[in-house]
Amino acid sequence: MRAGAELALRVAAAQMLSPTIRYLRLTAADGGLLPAAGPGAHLVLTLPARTGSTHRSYSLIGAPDAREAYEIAVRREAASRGGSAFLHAAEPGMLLRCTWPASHFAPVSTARRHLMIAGGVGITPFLSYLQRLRADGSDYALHYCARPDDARAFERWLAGDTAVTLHCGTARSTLNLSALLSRQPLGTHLYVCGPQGLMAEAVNTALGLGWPARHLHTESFGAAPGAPFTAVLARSGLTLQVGAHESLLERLEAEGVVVASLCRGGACGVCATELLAGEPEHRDHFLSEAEKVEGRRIMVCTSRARSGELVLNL
Amino acid sequence: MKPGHETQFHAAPDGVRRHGTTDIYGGSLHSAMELGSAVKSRPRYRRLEPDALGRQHLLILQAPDAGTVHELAARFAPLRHALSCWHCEATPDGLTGARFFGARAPMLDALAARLATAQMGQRLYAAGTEPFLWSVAQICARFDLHAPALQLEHRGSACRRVYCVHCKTLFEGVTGNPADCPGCSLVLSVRDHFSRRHGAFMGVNADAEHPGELPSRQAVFR
Repeated sequence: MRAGAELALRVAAAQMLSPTIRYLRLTAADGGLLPAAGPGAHLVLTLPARTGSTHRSYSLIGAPDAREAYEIAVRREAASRGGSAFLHAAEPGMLLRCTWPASHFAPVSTARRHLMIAGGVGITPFLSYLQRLRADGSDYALHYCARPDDARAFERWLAGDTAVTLHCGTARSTLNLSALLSRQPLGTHLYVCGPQGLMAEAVNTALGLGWPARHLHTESFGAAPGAPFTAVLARSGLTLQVGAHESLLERLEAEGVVVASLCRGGACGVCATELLAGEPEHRDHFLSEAEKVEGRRIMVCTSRARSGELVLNL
Repeated sequence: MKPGHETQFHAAPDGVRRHGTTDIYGGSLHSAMELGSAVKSRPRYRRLEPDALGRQHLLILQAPDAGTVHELAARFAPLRHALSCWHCEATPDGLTGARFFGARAPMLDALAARLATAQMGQRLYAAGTEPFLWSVAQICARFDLHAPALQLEHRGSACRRVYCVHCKTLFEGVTGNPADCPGCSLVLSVRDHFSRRHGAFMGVNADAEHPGELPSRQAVFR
């Protein structure tokens, strides 16, 4: 893990892929080669915010292992907390800082078939998957639930691929998860990225059809909003108010409290923090169900208070 | 050899591996001592239990006696609508309903053919000696079928398959320790270190450090 190591990037190209999705091509600020990243990898960009800075994760959508540039696609969120609005104003020449790329969502090398389900901008990690799976001649299928303008935005990555099925228009009415997941050959791995509801439904349907948990992989993005709550830091004596549209980790960083973190999506476990009191709402994918019930640790990047306040050993 | 405690794979739906207790084959770090070995790679086994989450079930028994067949038939009765039974090497007289293979090789070929057309939701249960179980597990691994969808129960002889680390020969039916390598003729100390890829225990030169000083031969893997 390279939590802390930073890269300096320069925006080399910027383009609107749709009214809400902006494509950015980023090169090393010094013109050199960038660290290689595998399929499904992401960057954490450090972006200016109203107070100090903020961090946002974006999947790399370019060719896996490309070292000349990183490519990302950023959705402009209506209730942007600064990240997507800032990047939608980014023009060539602008300098950015980011972590080294990391991947907690790579395709499984022992899989006999890769089944991908994406919702909305959750397509992004699969754009690098597709390039790798095509090059390797792997067996795969992608089901993409999207609004028509999202589908058009990513057309250049998806067009002409008969293994890609679009489920456009009204919700995802044409995607029958039960039918799809009940006829997959032994050795298939399922990857889902998109809204929480889609991920939960896909995973629960698969488990109900006898898929082992080790064949199911999800990646969530962004801090879903939640009720505001209070975080009490027992060791430093600080009391923080965490707003509805920010994560606990973001509030800690804004207050200058150092917490090691990496993926910012509840997958890697680096930001695990000891919880001394309070009722947490665990939203991560790292802790086991037993650990969540036990409630002794919390992933501050995604999880929140169920009610009232949390007391952390910080 | 007593049945090990439960093998559980603690993974969230994202498949992130938890710290600590299990690996994808169901081996456990804290179970090794229960089998009289401090070696972590030494597999352990559990009583076969029908897994109602599966949609297709295959039960493979090595040379079962009539008692075993009846016991497992009762245990697996809740799954009988989706259960296939295979007997290998021997089968009790007068019993029907199981597909019989006189030898291991054709059974393993049939298993590979079956798994090649199987769907997600398949469960596989095998009972027999360790070499038998790991021959089955090696076929399953080709289809990414591992614990907990694959269950292994040790029954019968404790004989081992041994891999000579010097000449790479694999040999079966080892009951004594040390054992003679049929490949390079070295006298091998049969370790508890187990290779899932080879489905075999490691055999290392027994008198490498003090040539000529060999431990007495004991029939320990009966």
